[in-house]
Amino acid sequence: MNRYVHTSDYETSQLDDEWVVLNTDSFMITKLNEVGGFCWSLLHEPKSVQVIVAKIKENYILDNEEVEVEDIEKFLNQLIDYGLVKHAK
Amino acid sequence: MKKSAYKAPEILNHQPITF
Repeated sequence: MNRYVHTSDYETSQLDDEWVVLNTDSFMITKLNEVGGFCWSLLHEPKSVQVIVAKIKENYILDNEEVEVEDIEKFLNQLIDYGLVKHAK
Repeated sequence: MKKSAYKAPEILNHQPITF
């Protein structure tokens, strides 16, 4: 099972319903929406997509909407592309 | 306690730090 974790201890701050992650290695700023920031906050230790989905279901109101595993994986893979997240061993 | 309505996680912006 694939697990994901932060690549480093990057500075993060939450502004209203957006999260800002400061990558001090590449000097890039990445802005995430509320749920994206929530997912990010879980990854200080290795987490699988299944665990992330379960945590989202615990913490968010799902109005006839399903938490799609594909959406979470796509998001995590983008974070990998940006150097913020890596596959945990 | 549930926070708010779910929306798919999304990267809103990704840009270099400017001076």
